[in-house]
Amino acid sequence: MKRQPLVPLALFAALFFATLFVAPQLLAFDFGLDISDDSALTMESDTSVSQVNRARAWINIPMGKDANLQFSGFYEFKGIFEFSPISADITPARLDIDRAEYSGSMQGVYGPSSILRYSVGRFSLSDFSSRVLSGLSDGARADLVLGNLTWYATAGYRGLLYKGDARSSIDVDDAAIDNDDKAYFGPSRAFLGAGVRLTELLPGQDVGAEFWAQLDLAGSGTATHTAYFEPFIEGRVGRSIRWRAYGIGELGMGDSVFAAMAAGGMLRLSIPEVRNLRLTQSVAWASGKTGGLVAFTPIRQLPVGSASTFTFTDIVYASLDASLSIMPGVSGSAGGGALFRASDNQPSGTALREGSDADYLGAELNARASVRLSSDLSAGASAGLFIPETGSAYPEGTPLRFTASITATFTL
Amino acid sequence: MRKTIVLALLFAFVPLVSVLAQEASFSEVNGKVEYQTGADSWKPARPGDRVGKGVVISTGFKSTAVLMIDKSSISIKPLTRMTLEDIVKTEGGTQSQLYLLAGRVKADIPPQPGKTTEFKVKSPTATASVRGTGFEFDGVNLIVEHGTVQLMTATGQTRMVGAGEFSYVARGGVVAPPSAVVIASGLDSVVELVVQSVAESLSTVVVVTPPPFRPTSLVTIGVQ
Repeated sequence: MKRQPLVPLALFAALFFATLFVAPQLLAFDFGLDISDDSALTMESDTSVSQVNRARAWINIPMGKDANLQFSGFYEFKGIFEFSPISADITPARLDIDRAEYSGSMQGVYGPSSILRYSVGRFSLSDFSSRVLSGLSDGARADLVLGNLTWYATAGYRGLLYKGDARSSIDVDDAAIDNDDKAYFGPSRAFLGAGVRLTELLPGQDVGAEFWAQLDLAGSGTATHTAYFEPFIEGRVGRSIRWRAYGIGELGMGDSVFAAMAAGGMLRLSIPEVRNLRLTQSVAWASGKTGGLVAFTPIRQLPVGSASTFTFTDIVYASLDASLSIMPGVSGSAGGGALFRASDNQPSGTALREGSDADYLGAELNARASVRLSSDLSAGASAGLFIPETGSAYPEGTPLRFTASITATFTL
Repeated sequence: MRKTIVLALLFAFVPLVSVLAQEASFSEVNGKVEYQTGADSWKPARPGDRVGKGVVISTGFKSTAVLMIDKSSISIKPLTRMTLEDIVKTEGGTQSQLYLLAGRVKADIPPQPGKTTEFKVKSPTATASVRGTGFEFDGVNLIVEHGTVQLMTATGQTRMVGAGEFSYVARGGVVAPPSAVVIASGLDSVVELVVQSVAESLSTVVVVTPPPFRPTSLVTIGVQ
C-alpha cells in the first residue's frame, strides 16, 4: 500500500471547517456530494482491469455580490488488477483537495468600462491549446477585460498536486518521482503565464498570444527550466464552421539550451438541426529530436489519442470524430485517427522493428456513449482500439491494444 | 421681407431633416399588462392603446403583450419590465431603443426597402443593435432567428451573433462565442442552449463561465 500523506486531508478539513464559520455568508451557500465509479478494461499483450470509486464533497459560498468561494475534496478507492500473473495494486484511501478557489470580479479598476476577474487557490487553468498546461494548479490568475481586448496573467506552483494529476514529464527527476511508490506529490515546479486575446479582431475571428514559463524548483538533480510562446487564432465561418489553430515554440535550459516546437488545428462542422451533429477534424504535431529541435516537453503531459499510449511529444496525430444526440439525454460519438512519429527516434511503448524508417505508427478507432438518466444520475461507456502498423513499423505479431470503460455518476 | 425669406427657407428644409416622435401600439394583450407614462398612475393595457417615449411597460405572471413600432413587433414575455426610451421616425427610417429592467423580449424587425430600422435593447451590462432581425433576449442570453445582432457588454466587448446562433454574457462581462443551435424553442430551453454552446466550443476547457440562466443583471442589446 502506498503511503497516504495527511497534508491534503488536513488542508481540506481545515478549509472545509473554516468555511463553516463564515456564518453570515452561509445563508446562500450550496453544497453536494458526487459519487462516481469508473471501471476500465485494457487488453494488449496482458489484460488488466481497473476500478476507481470516488466520493466528492463540494461547497459553494457566494461572498458578496461579485465573489465566490468554492471548495471540494474527495475520497477515492482505486484498484488495478492484472491477470498474468495475477496481481493487484490497491489504493484503499486517497483523500485530496479537488478545488479551493476564491474568485470574483471588480468593475472600473482600469477605466470605467474595465472588468478585472481573479481567482486564487486551487483551480483549473489551461493554455489556449491545452497542450502546454491544463488541469488543476495552485496559484492565482487575473484577467483584465478592456472592451475587445483581454489581458491575463497567472502564476502558480504544481508541487502540491498529486503526481498523477501533475503529469510532469520534463526531465529524469520527474520520471524518478513517478516511479517512486512513496512519493505522493508531483515535482516541485512553478509556472508563470501571460497572454492577450483580441475578440473579433476580424469578423468572427479572435486572435491572441500566450507566454508560459516553467521553473524547476527542485534543490537536487537536474534543473530544467522551459518557456513557451503560443500564438493562436480561432473563429467561425458562417454559422456552421468553427476552427482554431495554434503554434508553440519552446525554449529550455537544462544541461544545455534546447528548442522544440508544436502546432495544431481543429475544424468543426456543426449541424444542430441533425441531432446536434458535429464533425471534428483535428491535427496536432509535436517535434521530435530532429533538425536542431528536441522532443517537445510540455508542463503537463497528456495522451494524444484514446486507445494508444502515445503522449504529446515526437508525434503527429490526425483524427476525425463525429458526435450526435441520439435521443434526449443520450449522446454518442465515434471516430478514428492516424499516428505518425515526428522524428526517426523510437516512440514510447513497444519498440519498432530494428532499422525501421516508417513514420506511420498505426490507427485508432474509438466510440463512446453517454446517457443522462436524470439530473442527478448519468452514465457513460467508451471503447477504443489501437491497431499498430506491423508492415514496416512494429514487429509482426504486435498485439492490438483494446480499452473499454464504463462510468456512472450520482449526485446527491 | 427678410423674415419671409428665412421662414420660406426653413419650411423648405424641414422635410429633409424632419424627426417625428413616433408612437407604439399594443396589438395583443394577454393577462395582466400595465403601462405607466411619466408620473401618471399605472393603466391596464388594451389592444390598440398607443404609447410613446418614456412609457414603462410591465407584464405579470403568465401575461404577454405584443407592441408594434411601425412594422416592427416586440413580444413582451411574462414577468417583464421595460422602458421605451426612444422611438423616433426619420425620413431614413425608424430608431427605437428600449431598456430591459427584467424579463424577456422577442423582437422581429423586418427590413424595409430604402429605409433603416434601428432597434436597440439596453441594460447596464450590454447593448445590442439590429436591422432586419428577429431575436429573443432576456438580459443575459440572446438567440437570433434571422439577421445579425451585435451583442455588446458594458465594457465594450462585442460579438456579432448571426441567424440560428446563440450567445450569452458570462459572469465577468465576457460575451461567449456564438454557437449554432436549434432555435425552435427559443430561450425557454436556455439551460440546454448553454450546454450546447459549451459543447460546441473547440476548447477543451470552458473559457467563459456560463451565465446565471435567468438574468440577474441587465444587458443592452442593439440591432443594426
